[in-house]
Amino acid sequence: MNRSVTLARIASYSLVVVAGLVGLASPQAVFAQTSRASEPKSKAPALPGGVALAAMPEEAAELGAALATAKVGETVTFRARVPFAKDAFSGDHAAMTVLDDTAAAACCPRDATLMDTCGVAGSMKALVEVADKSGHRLHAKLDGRGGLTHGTEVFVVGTLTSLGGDSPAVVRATGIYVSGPGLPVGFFSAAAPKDATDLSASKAAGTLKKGDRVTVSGVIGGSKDPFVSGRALFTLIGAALKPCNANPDDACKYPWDYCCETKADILANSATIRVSDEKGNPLRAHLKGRRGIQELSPVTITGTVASVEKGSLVIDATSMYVKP
Amino acid sequence: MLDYAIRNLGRSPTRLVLSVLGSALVVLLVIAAAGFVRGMSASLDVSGSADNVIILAAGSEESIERSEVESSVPGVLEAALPGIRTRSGVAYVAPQIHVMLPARTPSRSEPRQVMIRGVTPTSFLVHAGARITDGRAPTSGADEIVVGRAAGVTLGVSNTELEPGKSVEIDGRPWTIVGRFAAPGTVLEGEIWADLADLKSATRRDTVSCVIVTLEPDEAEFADADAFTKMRPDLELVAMTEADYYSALAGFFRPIRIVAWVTAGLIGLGGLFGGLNTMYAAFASRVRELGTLQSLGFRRSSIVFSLVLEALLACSAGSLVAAAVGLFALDGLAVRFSMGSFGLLVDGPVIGAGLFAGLLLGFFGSLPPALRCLSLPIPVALKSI
Repeated sequence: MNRSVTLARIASYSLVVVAGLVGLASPQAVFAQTSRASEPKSKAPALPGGVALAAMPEEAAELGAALATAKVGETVTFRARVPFAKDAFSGDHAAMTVLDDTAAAACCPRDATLMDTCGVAGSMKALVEVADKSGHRLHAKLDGRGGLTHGTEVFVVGTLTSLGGDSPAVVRATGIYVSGPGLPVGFFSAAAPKDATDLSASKAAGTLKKGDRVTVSGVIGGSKDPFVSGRALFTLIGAALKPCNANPDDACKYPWDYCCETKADILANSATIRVSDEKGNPLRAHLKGRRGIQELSPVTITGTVASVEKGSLVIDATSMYVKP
Repeated sequence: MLDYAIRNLGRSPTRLVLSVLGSALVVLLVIAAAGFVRGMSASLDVSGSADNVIILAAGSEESIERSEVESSVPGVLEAALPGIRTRSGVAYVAPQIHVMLPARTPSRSEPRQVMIRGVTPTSFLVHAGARITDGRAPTSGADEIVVGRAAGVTLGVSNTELEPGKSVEIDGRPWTIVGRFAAPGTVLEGEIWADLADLKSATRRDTVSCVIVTLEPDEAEFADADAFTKMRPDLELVAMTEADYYSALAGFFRPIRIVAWVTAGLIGLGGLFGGLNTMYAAFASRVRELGTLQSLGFRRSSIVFSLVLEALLACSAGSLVAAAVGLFALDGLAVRFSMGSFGLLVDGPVIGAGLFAGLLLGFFGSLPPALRCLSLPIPVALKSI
């Protein structure tokens, strides 16, 4: 009798404990959805200090513009480029020099030759450092980590700790997003091209052919998602079509998809704009958010016609002006 | 106190059996609901491959059956989109037609709507989990089909009626079954696959519904397919990953999953209140006994613990019975829905949810009655009948 009670006791305790433990762990699993790994496989070691950003920060200004209006102690968000200079990365400390894109041409030669130093004015330069909580730079290299190398385009979020004079500004980074090789140096024009024509007019003329140099204006749109995430490519619509929100009675959720127009009209007044590499593939870079561009942003593109096929026009852009 | 609890369980075998069976029923329902939700989610999740991209007509993202893509698109895709997986020179590019048609076997007079997929041999490449298990793939010009392993559930017939050599009438036209295929855990198993050209002819169309391509992860990404569709607006195409397509479909069935949980919850509540009622009666008949225990020096907290433990033991036993029934009788049970069929998934987390529900039932079904019975002063309890 005692043995059977003991066995019953052991079984009972086990039953309740196991059921409880399994049950406590289960509800989350029942409601959990299978998640698919969406993070790209990165072979490079990560940036130190946990500063790597998963996405491009929005509303990033060019470095020069950001420094022109910022004060010491403020948070700045800017886009810049690492020069092809041997002193761009600081030895064993987590710090690097970055340049404003307009000045980057001087220190980012096409043949990617490393120069000893980059003699660009201090107002167009910044020293980005990654520090610990007490403000000391981390003992870690940045070169080769998280995709950082000479020539890379970077987006930095950080606190301005020093500014002024001929010395570069110093920014203590709280977030760094590495865009990779990024857009070509000087891609964004500061001034509007004078010889731009409207895209609709250019297409209506019917004379465009592969290899033609063109400068066309339009607004970004043509579908619900005119941008391609992760690729330097978007669709442009000419002035002959008005976005749906120009019609006071229209209630389109996405006025930039031009759902109020026919597909034939959209095709006749649109072009695909891409920034491509030497093989003609779109660069792996985000465009949305750069210089504030988004759906229905008016832009002017200078480039070369890559293809004209059954009404589909593709232009390889070499520069872009974003209307403020 | 555990000895006391165990001995008390055996005092009324009838009550014990009823408690065990009652809790087993409630827990079985929870397991069935959880298995239904998990099975549906898992089949839609597994049905979509992370490397597959569906190219379909713009505007048809929510209903692939309405999509019409020119038959020239597969060739254009293969030439223009870099990074498509190839094996032995064969590109993983699969044009397909997706259409819901009425189908029936000779034994049934009433047809049922079944997803018929028009395929080429490359469909067995892009859908890596799909394999011919019996017979062979359909050939062109012979009105042949292969049926999924769970197509019997979709059609409402036994699998013996869908063996190779038998016939299925689809939209009033007889098709010969030449094989069966398996695609474990996916909704594909509830479908019927026909030769693409034959289905085009049968449905009088010269377009396809979509083109499914498999990309090599190291060479191309979804963004490349998306870029292709934007560079060819004349084709009026849109790209989406297969995983996103099935996730969107899963969203359509969210209300059904909610209803399943609400139903299980309501019946669980009913079981709980029934248990409360039973426990009140059971403990009320033992008020004098409980008063005696208190007068002997046992603390109320210990007595409450023992009473709750009794209920937990009974409910745990019922939960185990329900778990066994769920595992052996419900797991894999095919359920038909609009896209085909899926199997109930009774796995570890589902069993755990059932066991947890059983423990909750035991705890909350016994605690209030126990506290109520022990709230009486000892002299009153000793005098009760």
